[in-house]
Amino acid sequence: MAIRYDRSVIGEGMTLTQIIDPKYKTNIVRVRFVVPIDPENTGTNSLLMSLLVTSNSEVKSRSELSSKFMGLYGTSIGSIAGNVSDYQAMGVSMNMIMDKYTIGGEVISEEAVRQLLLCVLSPDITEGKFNENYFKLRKQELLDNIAASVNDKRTYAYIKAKEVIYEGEPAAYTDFGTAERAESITQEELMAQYKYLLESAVIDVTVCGGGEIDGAVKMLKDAFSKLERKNVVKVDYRTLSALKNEVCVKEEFMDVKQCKMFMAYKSDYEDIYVCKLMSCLLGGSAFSKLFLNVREKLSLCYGCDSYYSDLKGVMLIESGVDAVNIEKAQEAIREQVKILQGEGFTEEELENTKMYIKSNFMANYDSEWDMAAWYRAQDSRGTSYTPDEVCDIIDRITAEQVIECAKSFKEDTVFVLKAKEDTADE
Amino acid sequence: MNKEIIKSERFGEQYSLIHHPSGLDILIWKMENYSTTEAAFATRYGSINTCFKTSETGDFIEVPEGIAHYLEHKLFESEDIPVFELYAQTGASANAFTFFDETAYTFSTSKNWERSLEILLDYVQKPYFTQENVDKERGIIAQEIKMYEDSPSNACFYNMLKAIYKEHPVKIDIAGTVESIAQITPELLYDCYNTFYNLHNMVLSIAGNVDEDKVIEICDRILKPAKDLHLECKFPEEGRGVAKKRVTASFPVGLPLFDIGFKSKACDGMEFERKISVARMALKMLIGSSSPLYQQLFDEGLINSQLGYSAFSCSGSFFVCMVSGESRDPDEVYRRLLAEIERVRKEGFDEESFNIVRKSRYGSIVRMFGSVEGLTDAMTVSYFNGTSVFDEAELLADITAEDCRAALDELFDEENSAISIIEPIKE
Repeated sequence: MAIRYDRSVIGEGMTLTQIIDPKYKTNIVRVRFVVPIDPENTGTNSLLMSLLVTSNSEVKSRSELSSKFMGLYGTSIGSIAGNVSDYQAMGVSMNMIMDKYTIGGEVISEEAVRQLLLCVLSPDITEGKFNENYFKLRKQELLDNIAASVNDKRTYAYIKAKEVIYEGEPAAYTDFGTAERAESITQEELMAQYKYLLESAVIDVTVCGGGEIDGAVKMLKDAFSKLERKNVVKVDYRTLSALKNEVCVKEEFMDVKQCKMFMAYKSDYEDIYVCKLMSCLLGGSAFSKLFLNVREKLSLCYGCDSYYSDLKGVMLIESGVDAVNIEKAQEAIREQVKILQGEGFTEEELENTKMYIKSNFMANYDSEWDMAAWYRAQDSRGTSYTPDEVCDIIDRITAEQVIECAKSFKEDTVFVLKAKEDTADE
Repeated sequence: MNKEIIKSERFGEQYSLIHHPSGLDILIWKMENYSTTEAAFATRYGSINTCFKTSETGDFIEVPEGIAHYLEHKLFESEDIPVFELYAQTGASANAFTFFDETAYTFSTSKNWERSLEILLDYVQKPYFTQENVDKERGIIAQEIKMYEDSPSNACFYNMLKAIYKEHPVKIDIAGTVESIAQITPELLYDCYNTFYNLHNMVLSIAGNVDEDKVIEICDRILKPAKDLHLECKFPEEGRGVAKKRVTASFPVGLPLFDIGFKSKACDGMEFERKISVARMALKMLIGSSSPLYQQLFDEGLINSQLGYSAFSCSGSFFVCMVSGESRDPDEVYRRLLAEIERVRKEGFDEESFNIVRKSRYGSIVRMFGSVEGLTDAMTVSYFNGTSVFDEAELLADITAEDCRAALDELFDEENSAISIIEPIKE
């Protein structure tokens, strides 16, 4: 593969990562701040990011800024905010087509990056306050987003399940906080948080795409290396979630037709790629144990999937089922986990799963977005493997390792978002 | 077999259209240095095709709602080795989807694409429906339907379609209802299969890491030549005016959701391509994030970043310009949108905004050329429309701000519009 990966330190706790493959037609520029999750400030951080992409010190109106980026061949800019393990990772992300694909070779990359830098490092602040009108509007939007978390039942159930799975850990909190806290955010807090992020957050700047963007990269490097940094936070993403003494079963009722069920299993198994393979064998494909048995054989649900979070050591199994079938589905899922722990898979099943997972890893090469996400995940593990290298790791995994890994996973939590009796469709 | 090269000088890109003797047309886009191969074996058949005839059926026949989607599920059934088990031996991710006017069977893989293509072509041509396997699927599809029934945005969207369309089957939920799928039998599935899964009504699109000669060799070996059945679908006449101007429903949501829809006349070919390009640009100038209306509504707290707009349409069948989002007062958003349309109708669009929007659209097209999945999809869609992937870019150079203004009467006729609102459940 022609991909070039380069990561350099550009200041205390600041890195610049370049992932370049000439076949891509666009470049992504992403600036990300990472701090430990502090439930008091998650909402403030999210609000701050949305304000940074609303206006800047030069372009003070949202529609003008939007027009500016649209005129740069539809360059998109947006805020990102989310939790990664026990940390909140937030920032600004931009995607632009390469200069060579504009009409007449117009150079847009430098202006696009200049505007992004204005947004992040020279925001629309007057007399120590963000634009008051946008502050009010974005705060209301944050409140709306918190209220709207019930709109998508699967996402809502996932948020509630995480509260139980990670009880007592920072990962239990959402990245937008509570409505009460959002309501009380002040301009002063916002400014203090902005200053804190610039001074003390881990900052990673990533450029991923077709490249040919040296001028813009230099602008990024120069701008960030000038930041005055102090008390930079320490980040160690892999903080395993502790197994509860007994399985915690929680239910919440809502006006829904289909129940959403999450079952969490935890393990401290060291080799994350064995865990990924095991989870894929259980419920990661259309020929997995869960798909073939819980969906196809028993017709209990439309989807029954498992995912593994290596940073928390948690395997999550989710499904949507009728209220009357909840226990039956739980038993069927437990049965498949037990089968996996008891060597209940063939060499062929394992080899097929390996092939499937490797094909998915290799597909990352074909998208600048996927490659940026790939190296972000690698960074969180302190590695910089290419998809090819991870495929080699997968090839070396044995059936014995998979069984040993499966045995190490213990049931921790069952969360069900249940239909109220009058809406249940049995 | 004859082959056409479809080329764009502007972008330096090209793909092949091969008319295979079996009756199938094959589209191939080789992307240098890409690892993935993405293929879609698609039929011009979706949820709206509920009344049809062929040279063999005689009269028009009507089938239950949701049958195209049910058929899609059942085509994965096989008499011997299950399809997913076959794919499991290749490492490919296989899937399928049913849309309003299309059903497609896809795979994506970074290894063994040749074997995956053999599997795809083979199973789609070998239906195996029995009473037992058809009954078994009912529970799974019922769960899928219930999953959608719990989605307020899905309800808002279909309520809007039911409000603006009095007759057209686009208002039918793609998956049907628990009641309608109860009527589906193996015989009905075979009727639909034999009608719509005829190679003359299908296309194979394949993009990414692919070798044209190998694709042809596999097609030669596996495709079973088909007789053209002269398929004809019937749609009810959809006159001017709507079924309801305003429709509401309640769900557990934070803020009210809304979908505003404007239906207009269906068309196909280049006329459709031009209409959809004009509609996309007009929508962006009317309510896109850089428009004066967006700025006013945002500044007044009437909309938030969830606002979206699209030209939702199928060539030759239906055409809807829609605006969706969250608002404390959706009716006011609707009123202001209508007022803005009226203003632009009189004053026209600003030339500078038009040029900005045109550049932005050009950027979107460039982005598509870097996506294996995007190109597979674009080839299929443009093929069914009778156009090419490059036509929009060529049209962009021709369309003027005045064209967009002139199209407002047809695209945004108030009489053909309605609003659907999802209100929060009052405790």
